Amino acid sequence: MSAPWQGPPVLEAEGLSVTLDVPAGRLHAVSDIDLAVHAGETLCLVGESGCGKSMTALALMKLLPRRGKLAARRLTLEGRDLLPLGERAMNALRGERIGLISQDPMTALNPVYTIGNQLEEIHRRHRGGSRAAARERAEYLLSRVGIASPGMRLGQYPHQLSGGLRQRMLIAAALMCGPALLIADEPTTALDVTVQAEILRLFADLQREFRLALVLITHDLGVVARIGHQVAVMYGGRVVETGTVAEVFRAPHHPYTRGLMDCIPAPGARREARLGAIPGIVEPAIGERAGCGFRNRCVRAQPDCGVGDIHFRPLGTGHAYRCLLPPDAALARPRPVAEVPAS
Amino acid sequence: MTAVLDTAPAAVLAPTPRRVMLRRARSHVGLLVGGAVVLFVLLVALLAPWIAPYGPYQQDLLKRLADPVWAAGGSWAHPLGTDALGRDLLSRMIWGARISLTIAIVASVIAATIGTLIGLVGGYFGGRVDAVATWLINVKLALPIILIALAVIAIVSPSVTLLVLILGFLTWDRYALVTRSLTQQMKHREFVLAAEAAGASSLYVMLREILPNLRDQIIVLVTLEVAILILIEAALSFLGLGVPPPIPSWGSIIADGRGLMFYKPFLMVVPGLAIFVLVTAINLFGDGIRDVTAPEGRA
Amino acid sequence: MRRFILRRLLVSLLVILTVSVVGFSLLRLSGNLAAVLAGEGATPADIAKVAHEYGLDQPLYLQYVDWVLGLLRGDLGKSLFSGDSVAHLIATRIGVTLTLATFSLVLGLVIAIPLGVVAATRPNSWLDRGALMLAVFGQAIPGFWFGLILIYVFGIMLKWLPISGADNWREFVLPTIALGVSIMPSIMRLTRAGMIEVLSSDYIRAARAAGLAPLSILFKHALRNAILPVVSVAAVQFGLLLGGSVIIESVFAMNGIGLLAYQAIGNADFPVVQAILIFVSVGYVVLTFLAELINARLDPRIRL
Repeated sequence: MSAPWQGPPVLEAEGLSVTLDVPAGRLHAVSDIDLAVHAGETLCLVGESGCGKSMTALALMKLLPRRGKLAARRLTLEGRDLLPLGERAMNALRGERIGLISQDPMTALNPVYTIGNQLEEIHRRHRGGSRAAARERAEYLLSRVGIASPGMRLGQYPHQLSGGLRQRMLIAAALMCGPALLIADEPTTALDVTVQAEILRLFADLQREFRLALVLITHDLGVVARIGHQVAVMYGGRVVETGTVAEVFRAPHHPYTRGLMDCIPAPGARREARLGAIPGIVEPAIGERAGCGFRNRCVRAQPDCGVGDIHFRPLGTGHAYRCLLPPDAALARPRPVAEVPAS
Repeated sequence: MTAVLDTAPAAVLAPTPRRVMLRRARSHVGLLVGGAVVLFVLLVALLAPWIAPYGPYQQDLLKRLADPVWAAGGSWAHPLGTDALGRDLLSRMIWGARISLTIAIVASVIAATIGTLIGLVGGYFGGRVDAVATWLINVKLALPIILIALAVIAIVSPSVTLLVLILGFLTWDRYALVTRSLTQQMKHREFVLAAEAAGASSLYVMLREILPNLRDQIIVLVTLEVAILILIEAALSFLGLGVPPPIPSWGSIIADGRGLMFYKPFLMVVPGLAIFVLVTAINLFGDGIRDVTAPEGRA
Repeated sequence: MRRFILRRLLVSLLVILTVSVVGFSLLRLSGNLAAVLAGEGATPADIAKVAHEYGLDQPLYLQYVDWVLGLLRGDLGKSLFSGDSVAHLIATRIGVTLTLATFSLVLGLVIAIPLGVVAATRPNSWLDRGALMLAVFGQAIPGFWFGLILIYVFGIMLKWLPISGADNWREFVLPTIALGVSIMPSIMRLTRAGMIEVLSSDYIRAARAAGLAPLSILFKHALRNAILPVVSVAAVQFGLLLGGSVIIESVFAMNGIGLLAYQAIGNADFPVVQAILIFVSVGYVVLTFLAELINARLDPRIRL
């Protein structure tokens, strides 16, 4: 799962930041993110709710809310610089070169139009052409994503489909124009466990067949382990650890990553041992902050953690983590199932 | 609010704390401007007997159709001029404010009482009781207010009391709709269930648990309905079947001024403008209260 | 779907029945109708004679039954003032009122909906605030007074338009404006509120993410969802226009059923009054029923 990727990245971002001016101050939703995804590669953005992963996904498409401001040193798609592009040019790219699969299949479809109508519109918008051509493509994709009787489904309304079918339909919609990059925001969260596995398998198949670059946003490490190639762990709007999935899972360095891993029940653990939990809650990232955003919840925090910029510590093979702790110290404690401190 | 058990959970349904409301109110332009105008008119209405330069029926046939102070032949003796019977317009406007506001407020209270009762009972009990309540509301909604008011007043003969009663009995539907909807949502909340579990009677639950939580919404409704009632009363008086002449009402003053529209337009323009300004102010004020007490309820 | 329609229909019929009873009884119960008809200075004997002549001395339910039987035959009674058949009177006048109501509703919608849509796309901008202020003003203007102002400005000062009557389209302009302005605010607010909510929904964001044309997103996707409650409100407003027609028709001297009702009230012509009362009420119930049907048709979630 850790093949070196050939060729230039489909998507590249450097120093990506998103700020929103809210009544309480300036919210730093995303701070200084570097990302790169290649064709056929899956990058997983992992983190708790509120860590900025969804905002990052929107930023990649320059689809921010009205109050949001985007800043980046670099943002390119298939080698094309996205930063100077206006809304019109971005609008042409969205749906055509980049596909977004929204989080909740129950609400991501317009309830008053048929599936076919919505799918065909995407195709005709970017490719022109006849309804028949669009319909043909829609039918093909629907069956490709595993929906039986696609012809009939095209005439149905969203509320007539189950959650799993709707999710597949969303995937088909994202693929209508054959994009190079897919961004999937929590694609399995709203689904039953059994359906989750199927959808993930579908993603892997489609990626192989269409050589898609996939950015997958999730809070579920299980999903990451299953289909991720690269992973970027996010906290408080920043990436705190990045690397191949194999490496990061084998040897998580950042205390937050280690905390996340600890939260997963491990087979073979002592019966009486408690499941790990990270104390505290995420602080809203309002106003200028120095140092590490995780320090008020970190069991290994030191006074220096609140000072200045914390830089990445590279570990080779693309694995890096953003912490003051040197690698040995970070790995020092074996990965036990930690005690939960009294609140 | 009041709970049967003192150990009822604290923040179950938290009406906006006073502090937060006042802070929001201080920066809400509509609330402040509207409120100021409303306050002004209320004071004028209250103090009418002392501040109106003339009585409402006082005629001075020598000074008929005097111009207002801003026109050529006007004077400060009659700042807004006089009507066809020599009655000072400013005074009639002041007395008219008193009458119209009184009617609107009292009728609003009557309507609020009827409507809230129906809404509470229907919303709380559900089932057949609610079917009856809904049927009553639907029937009431279908009845044309103006036509019925005109017809009944014509038969019984106009009087202020009759007007207040008719208006009160014809405008309760919005209260019923809103309180019914809110009660339906509220009856599943824990504090209601707690009261019921403790053995409180339905009457107690409705009046002492649910009703106090409807207070803010009802106040907003009353305010906005007062504005509507002012308009309805003005229309009825304009048609001659509202406030019986010679009692001054802004609506009937407009009717009087209508015949002289070509000649002395201010007699018709001024009272209408007053209605417009007052109703605008009340609406701004009412919307402001709504924003301050429950901003989520607003788009 | 059929059961839905059937249930709604039954409810509506029940309301219609009640409304007819109320409309019928209201006049006879609110005072001594016979005394009013007999006029001032009538002796009790005179009043009794009048009561007997018009069947007012019968028990109320019998009077109602008589009236319903007449209604089924197409006979709504005769006007006490002109002797014409009430049905005929209404039939000849209803056209004016319906025309005026239709024109006014259309004008209101034509102004309100685009305004609401645009306001929703730029919340809290000066355009949005302007639209909201317009709504506040529109709701505060007394209709009859605004009508008079229009008459004064456009009829008398500028002499552009006629100020009364209902015989040609020009005479409908000013009253339509007066009524349209009174309808516009509620529809504009509703459209705006609906659009604001819909524009922040997931499927609109998904549509943007799919790169759909902005105009399509606004009108095809967003408005189509936001417009559902507007249909109901529009139907209700139409019903209110029918009931409130008396005011504008009086101001502009248009011979619709509103003015007819007003004159009949003045003449204590109770067969006409009650017929119009019931007609308007039933019309309202029918309209709200139709609105529910249209709503169900427009929203596939209800329809299927």
